[in-house]
Amino acid sequence: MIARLCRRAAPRGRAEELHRWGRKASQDVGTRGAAVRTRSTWLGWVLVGCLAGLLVGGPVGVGRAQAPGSAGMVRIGLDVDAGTGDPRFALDSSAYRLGELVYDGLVYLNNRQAPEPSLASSWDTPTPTTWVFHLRRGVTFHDGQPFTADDVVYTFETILDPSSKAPYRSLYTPITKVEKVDAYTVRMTTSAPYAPLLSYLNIGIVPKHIGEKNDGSLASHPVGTGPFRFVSWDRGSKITLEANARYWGGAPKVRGLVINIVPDNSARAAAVEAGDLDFIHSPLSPQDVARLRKSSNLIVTKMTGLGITYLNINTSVWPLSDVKVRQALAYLTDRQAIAADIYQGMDQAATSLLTPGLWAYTGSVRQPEYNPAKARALLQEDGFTLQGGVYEKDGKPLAIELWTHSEDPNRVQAVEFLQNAWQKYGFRVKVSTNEWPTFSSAVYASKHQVALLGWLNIVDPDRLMFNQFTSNGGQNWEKYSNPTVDALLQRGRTTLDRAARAKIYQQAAQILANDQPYDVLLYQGYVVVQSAQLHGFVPNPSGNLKTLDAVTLGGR
Amino acid sequence: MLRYVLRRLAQMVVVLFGISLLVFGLLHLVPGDPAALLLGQQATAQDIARLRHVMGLDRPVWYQFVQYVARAARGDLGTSIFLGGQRVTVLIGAHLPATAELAFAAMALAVAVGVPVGVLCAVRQYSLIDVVSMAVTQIGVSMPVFWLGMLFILLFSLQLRWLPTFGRGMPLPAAFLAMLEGNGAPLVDSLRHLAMPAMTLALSAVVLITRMVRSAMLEVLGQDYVRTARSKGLTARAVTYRHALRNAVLPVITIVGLQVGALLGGAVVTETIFAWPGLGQLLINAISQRDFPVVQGATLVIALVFSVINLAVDVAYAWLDPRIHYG
Repeated sequence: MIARLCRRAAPRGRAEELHRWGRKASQDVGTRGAAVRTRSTWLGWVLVGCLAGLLVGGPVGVGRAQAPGSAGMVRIGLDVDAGTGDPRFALDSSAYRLGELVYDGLVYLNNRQAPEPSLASSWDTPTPTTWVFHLRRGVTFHDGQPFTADDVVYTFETILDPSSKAPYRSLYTPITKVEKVDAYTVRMTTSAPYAPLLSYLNIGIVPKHIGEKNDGSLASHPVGTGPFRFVSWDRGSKITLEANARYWGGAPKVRGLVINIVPDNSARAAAVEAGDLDFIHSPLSPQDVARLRKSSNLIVTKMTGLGITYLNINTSVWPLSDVKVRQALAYLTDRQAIAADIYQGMDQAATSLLTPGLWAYTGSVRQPEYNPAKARALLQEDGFTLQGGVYEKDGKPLAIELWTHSEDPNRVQAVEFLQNAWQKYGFRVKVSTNEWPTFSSAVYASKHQVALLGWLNIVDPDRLMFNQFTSNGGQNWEKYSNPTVDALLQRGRTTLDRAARAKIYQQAAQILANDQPYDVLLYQGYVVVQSAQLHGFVPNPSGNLKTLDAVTLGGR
Repeated sequence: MLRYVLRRLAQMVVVLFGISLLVFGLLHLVPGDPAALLLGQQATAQDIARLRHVMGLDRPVWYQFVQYVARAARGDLGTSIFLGGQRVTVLIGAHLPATAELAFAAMALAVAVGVPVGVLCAVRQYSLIDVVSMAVTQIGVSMPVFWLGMLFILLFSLQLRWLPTFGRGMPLPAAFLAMLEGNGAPLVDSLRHLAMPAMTLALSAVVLITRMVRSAMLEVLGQDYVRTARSKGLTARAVTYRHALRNAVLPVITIVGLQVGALLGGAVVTETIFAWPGLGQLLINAISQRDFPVVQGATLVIALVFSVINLAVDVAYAWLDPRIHYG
């Protein structure tokens, strides 16, 4: 039966034509056919050879997860390639991670975001606007040159230089003067007391003798004082670092690190599961994290991070200029459902602008919580009437636009969820997603109505509030203006006593929670997935990997 | 023939200029300011304006384009805005070999599978083999590349533990040299890293090649001279390969040429899933960051390679088929 199925469909019964055309046809046939036949046979053997190679080489690869070939090198997976190796110009998360491993700052922010001595072994504030840093002695850069006050002065002068491209220059502009007192002492003067300063002084100190050559070499060949020294950079693929045996904090116990760039979140999760990587961290897909928890040779650690996901509400556009409408939206936002169903518990529902990781947090400051009945009451009290399912006032329907960027599928799901929820209770909501550059440039120009995005690296409440809520603040895209809040945020920035600062920010946060220029949806979580062979790693919610300087690789 | 080639090269310059102009125009028309993106969310409006001035972005667009073309003609494609001042030529030079390796491997696999299967299907038309092959290849091309890639990782990396989950091994030429020097390990490693991305990419190309070979073979097998060859008593193998396939293979060469060109710039999804450091990834990251010089340079290089491959295919046509003359 098989033979019948495979029988070729051969042409028959035209023998007389063959006879007529026979001679011409045989002339048409050339002599290169032999070459073709050999070629296709050769191709077939190549294919067979490749398959055989795979089959032989495959099982040989079994056990490569424990292969000692990469002995002593911790293999990390990150999602993007670092844009630069120069910490002054770092913008993406990988550039930060690289900077934290190769360089040291004056201080180090530990896993509670408290500043600890690093290149500055101690500091004091003789006046509220003067900071004196006593530098650690005996520290050398990876090229052997000594670290001195000149390097500190050079680093901050270049950051503060208006013509430099330092992305976070605005965090340092309150510094008016950085001067060298002697080889191991630096004095910084600020225009007014600047409480958050220490939190921003963890930026890597670059070597003056290399930086002042102005050839941009630090961007592709970083040289710092940190626990790991730079070896090589395969652009888009991997960065190799080796342990700095002369590190002032003690030489790392591992031989080095290999930072692999694996852009896809699920592929990175598969890699750590298969043993091709030893360490990955957020961003990760919630479903992958749930699956990885079940693996016996992986350790999954979850904690609250330093970021928020929030709705930026443009208060200059009707109907959002009406505070009751903004509050009604907040009453209709089920943050718990978003956290549980869309983010699968990886992020937690937010209560206010105060993030749980920081000292200013208190659970008693709260935004309007999910309560559709209150929303309805508020809108009706404000003069809105329901017409055909949509609220109206003075003939204008309650219509808003909800935007987000397309790269994050969870955020896209969240806006669809919110559109559904808000439309159910009388709003008309139009959703629009765009890629990040288009989306962000429109939001920065305040062309949006409601936009879903986030803030990261909230190491101090000032970082999340000052530029965002002061009346002409550089990141006040929602055009919010409230003199009481302005005064509070100024005081919060210039008060050096932490307990007093906490009270100020709590007051400001409560006013902002009532006024709703931001509807904070989630406190972002930070997840670490590491091989069980990696011992001694202490996760830092900022994502800082510096504690890799004290890890060991068991069983290798 | 030489006049033809020279004329095609002149046309190529015009095409490349047109593409440059188009890409430049599009980049400046769509929203998204590289200076603002470089400085990030914390930047003030003055910082952005200052940087735009330094980068020359506040000049009129036509002036910027003329400057770009003048520099490109001298071989200077500019420096990347986002990647630490790296020169675009260096960046492309670092990423292009990876994509070329992947594209050629995928095409080699697609041809190695597609041609024999196509011949088999043509010779045994409507048989079980024919129907099954057509169905399998059709399913293969219909599956989204992203999903297919993840399936391969699940099967070959997680379940069977045969292949590595991501990345690229040593470049193939260097690995070959190492093997010739007696060390075969780098070559095995490179091939193991290449296997899954190449298979994923090949699946979309193989259906086209199979169908092309099948229909071309069917047409040729119906020709008179093939009947003559059979009636002369030649074996089936000789008829199929020496006489029929040789004439059916011409359209396949066009397809292969076009596909290689397409793969050079379009393998982005595959490169992303398997963390293959290629040109597609470079380009897509540059677009989402509005890294103008890199986008311009990469599209120019891709267009150039594509044009050269097309020219090579056309010249190969003339070499393979004596009936074709270019004037």
